[in-house]
Amino acid sequence: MIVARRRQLLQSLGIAALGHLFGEDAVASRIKDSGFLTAFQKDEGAFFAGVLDTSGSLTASVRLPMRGHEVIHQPNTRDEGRLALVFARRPGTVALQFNIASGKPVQVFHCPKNRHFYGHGVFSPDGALLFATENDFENARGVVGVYEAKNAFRRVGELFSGGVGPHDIGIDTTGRRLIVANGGIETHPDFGRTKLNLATMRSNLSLIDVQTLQMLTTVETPSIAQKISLRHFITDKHGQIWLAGQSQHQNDYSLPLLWCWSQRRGLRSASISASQNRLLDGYVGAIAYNSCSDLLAVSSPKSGHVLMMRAKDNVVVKTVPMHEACGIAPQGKGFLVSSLNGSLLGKTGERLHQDVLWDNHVSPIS
Amino acid sequence: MNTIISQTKSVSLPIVCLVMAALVSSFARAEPVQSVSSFVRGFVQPGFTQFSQDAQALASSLDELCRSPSSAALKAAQNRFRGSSLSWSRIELVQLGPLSENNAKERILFWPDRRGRGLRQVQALLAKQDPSVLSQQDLQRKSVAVQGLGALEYILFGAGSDALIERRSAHRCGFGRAIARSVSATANSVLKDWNNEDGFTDSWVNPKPDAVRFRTRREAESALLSTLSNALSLVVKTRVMPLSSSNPRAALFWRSQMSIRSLRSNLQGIEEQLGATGFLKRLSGPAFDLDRSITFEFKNADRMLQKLENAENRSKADLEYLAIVVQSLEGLVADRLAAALGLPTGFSPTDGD
Repeated sequence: MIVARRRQLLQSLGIAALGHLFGEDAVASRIKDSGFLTAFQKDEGAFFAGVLDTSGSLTASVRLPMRGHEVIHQPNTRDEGRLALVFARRPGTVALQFNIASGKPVQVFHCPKNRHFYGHGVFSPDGALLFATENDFENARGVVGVYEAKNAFRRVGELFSGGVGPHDIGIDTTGRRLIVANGGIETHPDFGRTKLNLATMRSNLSLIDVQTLQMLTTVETPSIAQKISLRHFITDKHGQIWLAGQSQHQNDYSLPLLWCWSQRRGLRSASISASQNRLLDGYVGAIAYNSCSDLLAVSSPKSGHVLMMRAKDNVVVKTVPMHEACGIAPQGKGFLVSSLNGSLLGKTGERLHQDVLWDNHVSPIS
Repeated sequence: MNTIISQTKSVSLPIVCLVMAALVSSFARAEPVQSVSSFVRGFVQPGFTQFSQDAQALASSLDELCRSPSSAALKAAQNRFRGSSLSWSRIELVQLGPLSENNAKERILFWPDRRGRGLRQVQALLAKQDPSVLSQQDLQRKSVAVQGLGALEYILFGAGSDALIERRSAHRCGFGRAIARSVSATANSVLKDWNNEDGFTDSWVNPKPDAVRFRTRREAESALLSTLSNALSLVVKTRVMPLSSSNPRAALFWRSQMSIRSLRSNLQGIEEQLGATGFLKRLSGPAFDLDRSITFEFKNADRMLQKLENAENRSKADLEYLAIVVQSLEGLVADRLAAALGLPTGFSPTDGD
């Protein structure tokens, strides 16, 4: 089965047609390339978090007791060896810190019993605090758990995420504002990943003041997009937040999936064409931004496409077919893309890892 | 290829035009996707017709109960409820298509309702004797949790339902009647959508390259297979698991004692759906025995459900066995059958994040 899928993948990859966005090794003004972090599964079923170098080689990995989701670099950990953190995929309750160079696990910690992780988190710029999206499932309420990194990740508190089903979380460059994409979907571990509130779901973007823990802004999707769950986002150098959604409307793939928020203009759907939106099959798996080229990229593992567009004017500059493409991170002037099938596509070309299935996200080591 | 080119060169222009016209016409009228067509016409349309008729009969029985309350009329309404819950359970897991429009599925049955929102809301409306629940139109503007079979089950079987045999329960009865009419109206609307040959049914049976949803046969068949595997997954997570929990009242339809029977109807429905697709008849080579494996597991599940239906106390071991069997069925359909049919399984929306 896997062999068949790999063959299909190779057939579907139009490597020669990918053009300079992946191929060019621009010398000037490119992203600092220190490698990448990702979760993955081996063909035999075991789960790992791993470190990739710029050519897509796996340089270190750590076996996980659970399926991982996002893996993030922990800032300011050079003295003790560079460290990273991997979260369990929802509804998991475990996070594991490991050494980037050796892959050795450093410590494991859990969220409280009445919470579970959503698989994403972010460190404060100084690396002292970790903010993780969590589910207060008895009260169907999203929270952000706050953990002290230097104190064995002791949980020092939590704050309301601004909605239900928080997923991706980020912090702006000033370190003052937390950004949370609340997907709007209620789940409870008693029913696995079953969606419990599709009739009334409503997704939102919430901005929280880190110092005062006050909610600064909560912006809901408009009613036409009631069934769009905003899950992932990136910020660009123009002060905009780009959000990527997943449609919960099974019969209709025409609802807009890509949204943009700015202080001045509020939340608007990106002005991409209906056919470009349709190309995403109602599901964006990941989104990334490259500040050097001012490009953003979104992936749809469902349709097997990556769309790249200019942040400044919403013009789609390239659509790339890639079977089960999902994880994306900026690299050079373009992007590194990983596929759920084991392929990596980056500035050094395409590389297939025979025994590996990459998970949904790839993060840069900063 | 060369042969075709040389033959084409030798024929006259009018013949070439005729051939081209025939080719264009055959592309324009591509063959419908047989598996989807059989599924819709052989299972979905008759299944929703049955449910629509049962829901209509249920509404009539509530009309009668409210007009002339009596023990016999209450019993008749309760029996109609049980009949409707069974025909609903056969088809409710076909969640792709019209059931996903306008929250139709949730309007007919809001479940799982882990925090008991529906029950709390229904109890509050009854306690207040809220007059706005007596009209179907007003009711349909309220929370989906008070419009469907879950709410009606409480009206007909829950605390205070005995009083429905007396006129002093006119409010409760009127609330139930509005729910039954609402369920019947939603069932009719869903059936009408499935029967509308120009609507969703056409889009699924006849994929088109520029369609909003189904562009290729493969996409249409993949969605069909996903519907079946998702149905099995939902049975495990929302029906079998609550039955196994320490709280016996966590199960769907426990008040009407229909938990096991509706679960049996869920699985019988899925087995019929699979039969209607014709997928199992396509198997050959190493997958030739898959048909028997799937049938075997459906039988195992049904045998256990019969045992549980007749049991005074459901043993945890039996329920765990049931969960294992249904999970095994999910694996057989989602992995082995998908692989045998060459349909994509690498990505499932329920797996996404």
